[in-house]
Order: sequence, then C-alpha cells, then structure tokens
Amino acid sequence: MISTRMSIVRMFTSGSRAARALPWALLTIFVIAAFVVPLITLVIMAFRTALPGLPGEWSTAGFVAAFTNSDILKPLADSLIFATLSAVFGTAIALFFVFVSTRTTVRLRKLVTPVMIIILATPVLFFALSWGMLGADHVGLINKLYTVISGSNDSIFSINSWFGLVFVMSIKLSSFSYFLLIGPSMQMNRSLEEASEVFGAGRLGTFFRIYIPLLSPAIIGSLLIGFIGSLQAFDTPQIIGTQAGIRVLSTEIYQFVSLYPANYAAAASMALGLVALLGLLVVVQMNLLKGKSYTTIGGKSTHGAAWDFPRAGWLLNVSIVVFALLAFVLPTVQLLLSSFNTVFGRYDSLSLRNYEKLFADPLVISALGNTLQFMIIGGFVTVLLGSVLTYALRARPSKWKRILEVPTWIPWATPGLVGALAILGTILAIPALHPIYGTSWSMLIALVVASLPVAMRFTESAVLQIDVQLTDAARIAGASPARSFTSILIPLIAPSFISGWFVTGLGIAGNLEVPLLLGSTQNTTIAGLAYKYYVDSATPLAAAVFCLLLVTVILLFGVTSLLQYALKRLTTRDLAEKTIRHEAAVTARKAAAKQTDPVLN
Amino acid sequence: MSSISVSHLNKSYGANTVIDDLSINIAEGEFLTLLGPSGCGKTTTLRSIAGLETPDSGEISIGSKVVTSMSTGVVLPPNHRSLGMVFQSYAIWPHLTVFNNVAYPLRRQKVAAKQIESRVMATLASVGLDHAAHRSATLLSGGQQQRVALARAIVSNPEVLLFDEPLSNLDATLRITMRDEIQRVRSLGSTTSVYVTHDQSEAFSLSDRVAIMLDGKIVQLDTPTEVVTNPLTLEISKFLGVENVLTAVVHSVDSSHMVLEVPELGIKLIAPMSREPARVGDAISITIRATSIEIVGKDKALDPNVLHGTIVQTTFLGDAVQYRVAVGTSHVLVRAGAADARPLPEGQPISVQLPVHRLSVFRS
Repeated sequence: MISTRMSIVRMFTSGSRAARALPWALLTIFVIAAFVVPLITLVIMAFRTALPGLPGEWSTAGFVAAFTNSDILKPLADSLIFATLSAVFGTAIALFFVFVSTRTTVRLRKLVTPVMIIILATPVLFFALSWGMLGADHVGLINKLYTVISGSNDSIFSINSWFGLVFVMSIKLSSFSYFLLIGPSMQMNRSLEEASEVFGAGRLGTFFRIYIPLLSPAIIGSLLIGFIGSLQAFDTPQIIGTQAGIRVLSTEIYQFVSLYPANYAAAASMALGLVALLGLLVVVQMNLLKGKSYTTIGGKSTHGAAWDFPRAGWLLNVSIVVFALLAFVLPTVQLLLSSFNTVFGRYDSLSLRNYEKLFADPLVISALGNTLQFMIIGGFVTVLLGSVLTYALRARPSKWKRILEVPTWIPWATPGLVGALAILGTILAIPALHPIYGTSWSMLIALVVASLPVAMRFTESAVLQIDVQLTDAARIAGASPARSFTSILIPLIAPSFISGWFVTGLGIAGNLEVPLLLGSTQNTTIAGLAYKYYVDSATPLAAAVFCLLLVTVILLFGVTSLLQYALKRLTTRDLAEKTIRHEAAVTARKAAAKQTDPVLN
Repeated sequence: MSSISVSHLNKSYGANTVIDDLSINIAEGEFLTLLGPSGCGKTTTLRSIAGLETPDSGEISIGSKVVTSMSTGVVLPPNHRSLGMVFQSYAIWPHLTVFNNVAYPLRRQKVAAKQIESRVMATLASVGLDHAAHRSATLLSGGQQQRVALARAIVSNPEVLLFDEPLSNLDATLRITMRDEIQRVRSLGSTTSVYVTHDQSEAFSLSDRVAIMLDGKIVQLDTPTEVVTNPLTLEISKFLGVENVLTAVVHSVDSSHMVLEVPELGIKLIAPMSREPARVGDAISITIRATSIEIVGKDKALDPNVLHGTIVQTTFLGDAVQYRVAVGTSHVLVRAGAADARPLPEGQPISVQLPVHRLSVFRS
C-alpha cells in the first residue's frame, strides 16, 4: 500500500534511530560474513567426520589425530626453524641496506629504495618460481654459468635445500623489514650519533653502541613480523621446500587437502592450530610495537653528515648491485630465457614454441581472462570495500566500535591458505552457495576477502590523512554520510585509490592458494597454471605463462600511471585556476581598500 | 685547555657559500661566542672545529695539533680531538641511564671503573643531578637533559668545549636558569670554549669576546660592550636589533661631532663623528635603539636632538610600552618602562630626545 511504503521510506529517511543504525547493521553483517564466518567454518570442519555439506557426524577424532600424530612434530619444528632463520636473515639484510641507504655517501645508495619497492610489490610466487628455476641442479642459469666458467659439470648451488628456501624467503622479507626500519632510522636524531663520535667512540663503536640499540624496538618488530610472515608462507615452501623434503605447517595443510580422499578434518585442525599460534604472535607484536619508542626524545634534530667510505665504498656499491641482481635481475632473465627454451636448461636452442602452445590452448586463454578480471574487477571492489570500511571504522559511533573493529584483525593471523580453505568449507557447507563452487565467482570472492587487509593498509593511510573536519564540514552543510563520502572523500583519495587498486590487483595476480583450493583443472588463473606446469616438470611452459603475467602487470602499471597523470593534470589545472582567481580577487580588494584608507599609507 | 686557530676556512653547498674565508684565533681559556642570524655559517664553523664537517679548504688547529688541514688532506675524526660538546637537541642517549650518559666519554678513554664512579658523581653533583644518576634518561625534563649534557661535556676535562645553540630548545625561564648554570660551571674552571647562538643576551652575558657573523664572514670581533656600543657597520646594528634607522646628510662638521640633516624627520641632529671622518654632503645612516630615546617634557623643548611628534600607536609589552611616534614624514619607535605611569594614549602629542652619545652613525 502506498501509505505503508511511504511510512517505511519516511522511517528510513528521517533521522530516526532505525535509519541511522541501518548502514552500521549492514556493515556489521558484511564484516561478520567476510571475516568471522570462515573462521567458524574452520572450527566446524575440524570436528566433523565428512566433507562439509555431506552427511556426517561430529567427532573429535580428526582434531585429536592431527595433533597427537607424532608426524606433526617435524613440520612444526621445520616451520619454526624456517621462520626464525628467514626472519633473522631478512632483518639483517634490511638493516645493512637501511644503513647504506640512509647513513652513507656511496654513489648507488639511491638505488636501494627503488629496488626494495620492486621486491615489496612483486608477489612471492615470482621469487619462488624463478629461483626454483635459477637454482635448479645443473640446468638452472646459476649452475650453467658456473659450468661455462669452470668447465666442471657439478652444481655449486641447489635451490632445493634449506639454504635455498631461507635465501628466497629472506629476499622477500628483507623488503618488508626495510620499510619497517627505514622510518626510525631516518627519524633518528643524528646528534645522538655525533655526540658518540665527539665523546670518543669511533664509527664502529657508534654503530653498535648507539645506532643499533636505538633501532632495537624496530628491529624486534621486524623480526617478529618476519617470523609471522614466514609461518604464514605457502608459495615458497611449497615450490622449493617440498622438493628438499622440508615440510612446514602450511604445506602439510595443503597436503591433506590435495590427497584423495581429502582429509578436511585434519587440514582444518592444523589450520586452527596455526591460526591460534599466529594470533598469539600478532597480539604480542601489537603490544610490543605500542611500547618504547626511542625516536621522540630531544629537541629539533640536526641534519647530520653521512659517512664517507673512501676506501671501502666500492664494496658497498658492489653489494647493492649484487643484491639487485639476485633479487630480480637474474630471476627475470631466467624466466625470459626459459620461456624460450624447448628443453629446460638448453639455452642454445631458443624458440617461440612455448608461446605458440599457450595461445593455442583455450585453458590458457581462459586463465588469462580470469586473471585480468580478478585483477581489475577484484582489485577495484577490494579497494572500494576497503575505503568504505576504513571510513566507516573511523566515523563509527562507539557502540559499534568493537563489533566492527575486532573481526578485521582476523585476516592478519590467517594465512592465505587457511583463508582459502575456510572459504572453500563455507561454500561447501552452505547449500545456497553450492552453485558457485568451482566457478570464477568463488575465486573472486575468496580473492577479495584475502586482499582486503592489504587494501585497507592503503586506504587507511589515505583516508586517515584526510582531516575528519573536511567530511564533518560536508555533513554540517547538509550532506548525508554517503554524499560526503562520494563528493569529498573519494576525490581526495582518488590518487591513493588508484595506487591501492594496482597493488591489490598485483597481489591478486600472484595469489596461488585461491586457484589451488577453489579453482579446478578447467578453471584457474595464470598463477595456478604456472604452478601446475612447474610441478608437472613442464618448466619452460611455466616460465612462458609467468612471463605473460609479467607483461600484463607492466601494461596495467602503464595504464595506472596514465590514470594518475590524467588525474593530477585535471586537479592541478582546476586548483591553479581557482588559485589565480582567488589571488586576483584579494589583490583587487586590497587595492580598493588602500584608496580609501589614508592611515595605511 | 688549548687555544684554537682557524685559518682561511671555506665551505659551500653547491652555489651557496656558507663560510667565506673565515679566520680566527681563540686564546687559551677564552670563551668566544659566534653570534649571527640563521644561515650565517656559525654552526658549520663550530662543526668544522668539532670534526663533524669537512670544509672545502682551510686549516684548523687545536693547541699545537693540526686537526683539519685541507691542503694536506688531514681531517682528524672527532673522537681524537679531545672535545666536549653540548648539542642543541641535548643528544642524551635514551637507552642509557643518566650515569652511563655522563660516564660514556670516560669509558671511551678507558678510565678505571672506580675513577669513573667518583668523577661522574662529582660532575653530576656540580649540576645538581646526582640524585637522578640511575634514572633512565627518558624520564628527564628538557632542562634536566641539558644539564646532563653539560655534565657529560665537562666530565673528561676536554681541551675545548663546544656549544651548539644549547639553549634554543628551552623555554624562556629555563633558558635563563641554564645560562646561569653555564656561567657557574665556567667559573669553576676555564676551558677554552666556543659558543654558537643567535641570541644576543646569551652571547653578551657569557663571553669574553663575541664574533658577529654575517653571510659566512666575521664582521666584528670584540668584547660584548664594544660590540653593543660601537657596532662597526649598519648591518651589525640592524642585526643587534636596533629599531630606528634614519637616512641623513652631513650638514656641518667639527672635530668631534657632526650636524646631520634628516629629511624624513624634518630636523637636524647632532651626532658623534663617524669612524672615518665624514665631510659635508656625505650620506649617513643613523641608528638608535628604541630604549635609548627619552620622553621629555615641555621644559626641554629647545634642547638639542629633541623631536616633537604625535603618538600613532601604543603597544603594551608587559614590562615596557612601545610608542610609534609620527615625526615629519616618518616614524620613530620609542620604548619606555611601564613601571611608573600608565601608557600614553594614541593621538597625544609627545616630545622625545635622541641623546647624542646614544646615536650610532655609519657612512653609506
């Protein structure tokens, strides 16, 4: 009836309690669905005897078996060793480069940050696959080069070893640590080091007595984050570790799921254990970072002079070059060369055969299409949701504070594999969701949920930088929350939005867990394909398909940069025009005033 | 303690010359202040003496030891120069206790532990912080941190003490307390000291001599009294904060004075003779501090250098009152103590006298 509809509309458009609560209620439902439900599914999966959705019983057998099985001790021990070693080496590498980049005058120091940015942005899959090839016994580029130089047929380096595994993980971790350490290092009051020099300590003494101790909160934070990140890692241990007989918790979980028949109870149980461990570490990390900061003591800091190394400087420059080579130059070269291999490791006969094969294969085309869609659409949706969530969390009434905020921390303790597993379980357990099982939709949803935490990092720094007063002013002037969001916030954060879109898309492209768990042989992404070819020993194909991904990413980067440039031109021209008009008006007013007021003369 | 000798120091950053052929000799035990505005090169000079910066050319010696010689490429690192330094931002190490902060120089010199204990505690007692010896440095206030910095600088009996604007991060009252503290510490022993500041009251109250630096050069090197009463140039006068600058032409001269025609005030003033004797017709700049101008009553109306004008602006400054007095086509700033009478209202006619001996004259 018209009158009922009108009264309902009026109820929601008036400032009534129901109307104001509605958006928060919707948001809460979304947050719970995205973050809490999968966790609950995991718990359920651990305690049922059959696949979720299939008839079965509640039982603790699977859970108990997973943890009492002595077979769990080795993966647990290997996980802890792997995490400790990677965290330590990653932090050490980062510390060295932070020092070189912020404290020395070596010529190449300006290269360090861009190299680290590239490493940070590059999905782990790139490093795992490319180094898997680079360090391959006998046929990888490294061993091939050694053969050419020394004439010996022995391999000097095999990637499938503890050394190789920790090495690859450390490269990626070092970029995280670098950006964690560089802020405190630059903010450090240089007078503290200069005082040490004036009062009798040499450079080395100052480095160990002053620089390192002052950085210690950041160093500990970096170690902890590296530890947590390594525990969560899947790509690297799966691609490199398993070949070396190294089993970690995440690869064990995947093992349970990829068996036939799949042992979901065991997988879910182990996943829960991992989540519990990580959750504990995340809480510890948050508390630690809240603590002492050594950077806020003292007054204005002077710009201290950087250290000159007239004799040893060349060594530091060489280390920068070597690092860049190892981190992405050699891996990229390996991928490119291998994509032209007919037989992996035979660099004398190169051909386009692999690419021809790929483009003729409808599966590849569909995977490429999927990847592009996920990157573009998935990336956009994720960043949009992230912005809304960040904005809502900031503007939230205190009543909804806890309900909304706590669940968004869950992904930080949830490794990608566990998250994908949870979403798989949720889809299987809820009959209404069955139609999307095995389709691109399930992958898209999983990718969005998995990428939300990272996207929110971007949107947080963008949205939170914008003074609440800007949007408050809009509200007071009459705009609804939605209106102030679209007319004030979005234009202001547009540049960060676009960057966040690109970086999220990049992460989505490199995601391996979702296509492995939620895709199928007929429906997958480039990442999934690359992995499949690699484990099927069709290494050149894996290289070729990954190169396709690289090209796609570079093209998208170009598009993104163009967008940013266009945006800047639009807004600065607008701004410039406004400024000129404003200044003209003020000058005119001043001139008029001067004519009438003798005193000011 | 040692003397310091700086000769022909030069430093540029790109096209920007920061130190311009600077030379100075600081005697043993002397307290010298480098006084100047931001960017004049005083801090860079101090840091070059410390060894924290390397000049483009020049020589620096502490005592008989050549510590910096760009011609021979010798640059002794700071830790070999036997210095003490107080930094602008205190530079107290937050991860060490107060005791360990002050003990640091002695430890680097490998002094025995028992000696360290006694010397550190004695020095802390001399700055009134012995009770806080085992407190973490992060728990100190700004003033306390600066006192710890002072203690640390003197504990090892260095050859030279350097101060890099140590008081500029402190609030007004604390600044005065710390300045007195530095003076007191100085009276206990006379280490050769170089002090950098842009604050005149610090410079004049602490120093044996003051070197005024402008644009990378030392433009006047004198005792504080000399600098204030006889600034060498108009720039120095302006830097010292003289509020009234008048342009004039020499009307007539005698042996010790000149009569100057001041068009903007519409009168003639009697002034002391300039350093280089001026002749009739020369262009002269006159400066006088606002505090030096006296308000006079009608009985002095015909005395020399008395101006008659109208108050156009009265500014109450708390401990003083500033009057902007319109005279002729220009203004003169007069500052009077607020202790006695109420501030005079705007619009009131007023007579002021510019005492002859308080005028500084410079040839243009």
